[in-house]
Amino acid sequence: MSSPEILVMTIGGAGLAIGLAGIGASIGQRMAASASTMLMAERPERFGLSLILTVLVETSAIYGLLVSIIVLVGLGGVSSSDQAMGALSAGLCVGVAGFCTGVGEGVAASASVGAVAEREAIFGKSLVLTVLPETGAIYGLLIAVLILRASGFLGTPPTHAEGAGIASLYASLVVSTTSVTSYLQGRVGASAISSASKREEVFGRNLIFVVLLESVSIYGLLISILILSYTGLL
Amino acid sequence: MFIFSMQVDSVKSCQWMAILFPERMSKVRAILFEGYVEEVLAALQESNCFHLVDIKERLPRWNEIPHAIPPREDVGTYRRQLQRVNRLLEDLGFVKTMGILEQLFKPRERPPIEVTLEGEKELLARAEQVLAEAEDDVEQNILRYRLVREFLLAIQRLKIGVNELRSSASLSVRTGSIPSDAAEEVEMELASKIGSASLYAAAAKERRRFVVVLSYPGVSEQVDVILKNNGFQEIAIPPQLSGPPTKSLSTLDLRSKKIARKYQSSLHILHDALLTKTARLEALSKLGRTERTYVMEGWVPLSMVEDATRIIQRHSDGLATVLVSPPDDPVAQVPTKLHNNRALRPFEMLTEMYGTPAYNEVDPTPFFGAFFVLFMGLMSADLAGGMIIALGGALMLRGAGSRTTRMRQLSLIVISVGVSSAVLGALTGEFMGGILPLPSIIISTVEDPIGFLLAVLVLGVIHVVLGLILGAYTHAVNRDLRNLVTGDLAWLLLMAAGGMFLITGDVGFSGQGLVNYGLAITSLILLLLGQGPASLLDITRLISNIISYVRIMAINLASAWMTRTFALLASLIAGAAIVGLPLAAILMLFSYMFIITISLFVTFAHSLRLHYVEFFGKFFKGGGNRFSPLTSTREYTTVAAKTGGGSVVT
Repeated sequence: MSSPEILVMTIGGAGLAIGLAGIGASIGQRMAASASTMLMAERPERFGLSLILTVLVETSAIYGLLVSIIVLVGLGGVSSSDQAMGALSAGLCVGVAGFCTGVGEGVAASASVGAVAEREAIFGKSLVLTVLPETGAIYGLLIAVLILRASGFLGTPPTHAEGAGIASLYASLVVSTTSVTSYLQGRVGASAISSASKREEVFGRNLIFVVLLESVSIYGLLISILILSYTGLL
Repeated sequence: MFIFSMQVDSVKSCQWMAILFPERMSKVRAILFEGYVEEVLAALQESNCFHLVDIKERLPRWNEIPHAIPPREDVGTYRRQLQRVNRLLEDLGFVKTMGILEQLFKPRERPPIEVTLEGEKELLARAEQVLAEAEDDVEQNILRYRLVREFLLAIQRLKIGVNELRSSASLSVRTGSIPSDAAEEVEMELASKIGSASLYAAAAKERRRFVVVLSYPGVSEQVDVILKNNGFQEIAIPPQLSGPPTKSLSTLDLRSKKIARKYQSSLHILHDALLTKTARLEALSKLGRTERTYVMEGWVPLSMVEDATRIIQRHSDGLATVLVSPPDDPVAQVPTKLHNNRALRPFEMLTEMYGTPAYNEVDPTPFFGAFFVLFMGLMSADLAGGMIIALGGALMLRGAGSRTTRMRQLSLIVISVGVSSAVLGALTGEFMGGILPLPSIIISTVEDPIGFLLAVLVLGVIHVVLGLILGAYTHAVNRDLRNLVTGDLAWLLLMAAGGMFLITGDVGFSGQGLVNYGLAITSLILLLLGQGPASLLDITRLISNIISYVRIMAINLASAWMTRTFALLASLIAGAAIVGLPLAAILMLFSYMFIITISLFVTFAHSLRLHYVEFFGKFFKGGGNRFSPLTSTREYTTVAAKTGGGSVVT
């Protein structure tokens, strides 16, 4: 039986993964769903499109759920503090990234619902701008999965690299902090959607403004991967 | 082979073809006698080859001889007729609201009606007569009975026959509706004041409730007063209806269908004819006019100039004057028509979603199509998933793809993405999250993530370099030597230097290292000279662009591990007695379909983003003037191949 500290860290990781990601997704979905319910009063025939936009926001919670399940299923095999720290880091990473993405996507999705209310033809472009902030959650999930793999949660033997736990934590912190850009991307995306719904031809240029913010999260991902690689976790 | 002949600010000598550029255009000017104008325009609409220019912008070039034509007043008449047609189509049940699945997968119900231009013209001349007849018929036989139909539908549960809804010597029957909130009150009032009257309420509709009121004839007047005071509206049951409500409903439905069949062809043909006519009359206002002639100016693709000239001459009895010349206008005014082969044509709409290429700009569609399918395939690489996506695309092609060109193109893109995903899934050994262990032929993305990471970075470098090469080509063809040398070539040299440093690892100041430094310094000098000090900041943006391709690996692994996790959950559930295996199968099926659906949206958006930002940013500005030819909008009809052939309008 693992020590209480190890259990606390491992289960804490599982909790953080679904808890933080779920809160973010809920906040985002609330925004999108509220806009959709208002749309139903004017345009009930746009139900399908607004449902797609609302459901999309939930994906970051699903990423959190997955990491949570992986951690809990592998709980029995956790025997070292490095493995427990790995679980905590993975949960933190996907949780914070999922939170920022959920809220950002929710802002963009509610703007998309508003645009679709005016003009159905703008759905495709709005969808693209709504999905862009998801990059943060994807990076968070990726780093979480790589950490869990190195910590022995995915059927692979745990690494015995020195300082594996601390390395996992720092790799996770890098991606977590840079994932704030996902929320900001959502805000810019919402403006881009409103602008494109008035003048469709500016969609491409608006897209560039939205993705400018992503450079920081890309740098964060790269540094996280390098941390994992140079500390023997990858 | 191509020949450099175009200048930066204007386009000359359009006879020379440049590879990868949009289709070359010719300027066509025509002078027609007034009696032939509409016929020529109608023929040009069917040919889709003539991009009409508003003559008001061009009057100086015509020495101000023709004058502009004001908008035609009869356009309003035709628009009103179109509104009446649409209303009739709705009343006859031809306009149905479809759910999203129906919109995607339900095939077109009827093939388009083949018509002739002469037949359409004849029907347009009789439009008022046809519309009046149809409206009268619909009013008498459908609209009048619409409320009766709703009433009969509502009272079905009361189990009253239609014959029993008529008054007799011993029983007074009233049928109609009252406000829903008054129903209970009326029932109580009838019971308290007139004990022998009964009210039976049926289903409600829009705050009114359908009711049947029975009473003895002796108290009819009192009942009428109570009903009138409570907003009762009578619904008279036609004498020809009898038997149970279902039988009467069936009679009414048969009547509606008979009338719908009678007018279906005429209304559909009239709908398309009016749309086309309205567009043609609006186009007339772009022409110029003298006392006896009309002048028109526009653009025609070089390959269709002969056809356009022949059409104009044939429909004006050879009396037209047609002048063809190469474009000598500013680039921004020459329209752009993309002309890719059948395999790549569906991707043109994705290119144009970003922006229309300018006339003197490379058409990125061939490269876009190939890399877009590759990237989406890499991000969602899975043999089973790819086959499902391809199947979904095939069903879409049969459904929505049979109704509109846009959906047809989207379906073909989905099919190609599915095939790509399946092939790459087979090559990387991915099948439903490892449920079926397949050997990986090139690389296993799950087992060797770093190897995959390096591979996508190399792919990113190739993509970016391709963008720079296309930029260099565009500048070379347009003889923009400055941007060519100090922009595209400088960046390519810098990337070559960076690549050489990485590959050779030589950072010393001798041998290969010296060459590397030479390349780097040369490129930096060129950048500073051409683009200024701000260009140095673009170096970090270039690095960021290349690193951005890491998302291919991230999205691929995220999907793969999501599928594996659900497979792990399913395997845990499968162990349970009796229900374990079926539950596990259901979980796996639903979760896999969910992953595929979400993955499609995500991979589509990110593949698009990689092209729009990292690729297009190197060479593509867009802002072109899209080629929009005179065209006929046909929803229900198609013009017969031979004039005089096809079905005749009835």
